[in-house]
Amino acid sequence: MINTIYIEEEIEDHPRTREICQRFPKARLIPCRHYGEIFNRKNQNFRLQKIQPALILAKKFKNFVLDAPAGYGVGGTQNFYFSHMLNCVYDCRYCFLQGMYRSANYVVFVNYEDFADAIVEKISKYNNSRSYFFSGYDCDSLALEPVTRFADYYLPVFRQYPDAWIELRTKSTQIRSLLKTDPFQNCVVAFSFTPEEISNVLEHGTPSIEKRLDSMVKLQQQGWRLGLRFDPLIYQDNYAEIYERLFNNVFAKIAVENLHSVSLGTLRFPESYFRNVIRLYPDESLFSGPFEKNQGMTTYYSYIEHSMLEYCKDRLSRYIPDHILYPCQYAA
Amino acid sequence: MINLVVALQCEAKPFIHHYRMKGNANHSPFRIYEGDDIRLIVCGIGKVSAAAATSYLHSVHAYERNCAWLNIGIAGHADKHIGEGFLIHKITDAGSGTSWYPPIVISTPCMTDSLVTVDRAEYNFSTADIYDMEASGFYATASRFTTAEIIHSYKVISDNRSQPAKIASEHIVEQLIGEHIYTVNEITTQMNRLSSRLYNIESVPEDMDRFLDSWRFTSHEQNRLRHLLKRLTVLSPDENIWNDTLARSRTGKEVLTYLQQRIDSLPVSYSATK
Repeated sequence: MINTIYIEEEIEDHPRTREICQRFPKARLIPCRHYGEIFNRKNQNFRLQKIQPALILAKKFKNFVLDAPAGYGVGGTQNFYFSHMLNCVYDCRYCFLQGMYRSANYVVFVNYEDFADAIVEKISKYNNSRSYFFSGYDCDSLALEPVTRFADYYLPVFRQYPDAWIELRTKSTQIRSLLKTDPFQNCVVAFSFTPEEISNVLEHGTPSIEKRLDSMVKLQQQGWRLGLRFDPLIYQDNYAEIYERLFNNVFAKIAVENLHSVSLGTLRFPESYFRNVIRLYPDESLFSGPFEKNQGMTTYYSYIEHSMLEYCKDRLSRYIPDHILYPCQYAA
Repeated sequence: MINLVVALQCEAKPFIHHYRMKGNANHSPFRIYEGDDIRLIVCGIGKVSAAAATSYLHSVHAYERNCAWLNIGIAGHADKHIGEGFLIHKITDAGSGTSWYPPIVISTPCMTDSLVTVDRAEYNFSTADIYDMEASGFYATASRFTTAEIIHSYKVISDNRSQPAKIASEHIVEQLIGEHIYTVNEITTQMNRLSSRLYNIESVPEDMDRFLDSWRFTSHEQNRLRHLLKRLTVLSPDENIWNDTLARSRTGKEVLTYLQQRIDSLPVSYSATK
């Protein structure tokens, strides 16, 4: 529930602003000049703000579409990301956003049309290559769909360009807007998973693994192309056992022929983000390791990373062909 | 701990009475009163006075981290009713044009509104905001000492176009503020809860002093020690670390190595640690 909405004065009368505000008739509406006045201010506490995050409606002026980090890809030659929203409605303890932003408030950029122009520009520039556009980098793509109508707006844009792929990355069950439209070839709806034992403890406010799988099944029945994201892989002593159980559970429901891609990624934080998160959550066992610093990143000890990746690759290869498996190895 | 900042003695009286605060004779530049987990300073009129008093109160108790701060006082508005109380969700300094947006993570027991801090008493009320003379000075200063979620301003309307400021006597002000004691109490209770939560999160590990007394650590090593002790407490809350192996450590460096090895040897299991 949103109790407070900050609105940049410039987009006060934007139809999308009005539409979003109408969904929260009881919220206090507070005008501001620029979202940075609230979002980027020093002396804020992400953890306290997670108790009651506010919504900030803003306009983005530049850098609509950015290059995805090296290693972040599922088969494209050009990888981009764009963020109509900053921050996530969920509270996953391993998420890098809590170390990156000072504020836990959600920023939604309402000028979707400008994002779409920038996306089309990139598509035109890289005309004959498989370009991928990731929408769930700074937020969950679908979790706030009833409010933002993100998919409603952006999917028709990509529908026109079969060589440009969009990935919706989510843990949510907000798939109604997808189910009421026809699937198309260049859209991947990717769901993130950790084993239930870990999800229960570290993924606060997210739908259960079973509910996520139910959503995937509904999408698969309608012909949507699906993705599986085991990213980040979280270590615990019996990781082999719990990941094996997760894979069994997932592939008992998800048919391989509907899968566009499966990716794996290891837990990593830029050191400065890691310093921020342990300051926020010193009582969190996740941040007690076993970590090492590696070229500016905090990661699991490399032998642990390696073992987990190899184990999961091996187990996944029993279910899926190699060419759809992407073990993402991030550059430090 | 919560610090209340009020401009006038008559605004302070209801709180001094309600929280059974006692005057602290040691502090001379401002009148300061203290009760259980609560403190009040009378700053005088104007944003400079509010900033100075906030800064002074902080400096006197600088060793206390994560205190909550609440500015309370009377204010004006074009047409809001006399006696209405508001938690402030936006503070604008009329002089500089700077705005602050106190993040509201508590459940508000009252309405909220925006406020403009002016240098002289306002009679025209040219915008739809509440007008006061202290909040911007208070807020800008308190923001230097603690996180924004535990800094707030609460204002009670004492004047409007039909009943201008000149009319409000000390007695009326005291009465107006006094009627909001329970609302303010609800706010301070929640703010105090957040303040304690932060205090607990940031608390120094129990054994830290004993380690510092027993071995020498550089300041970098002290940070590492604090971090390792916290991690050990999270992973193995009941562990008695003071064993023979630790006692055999000759230097701070050896202690850190031992703690690191001990942590690495502990099982990693989230379901087991929760």
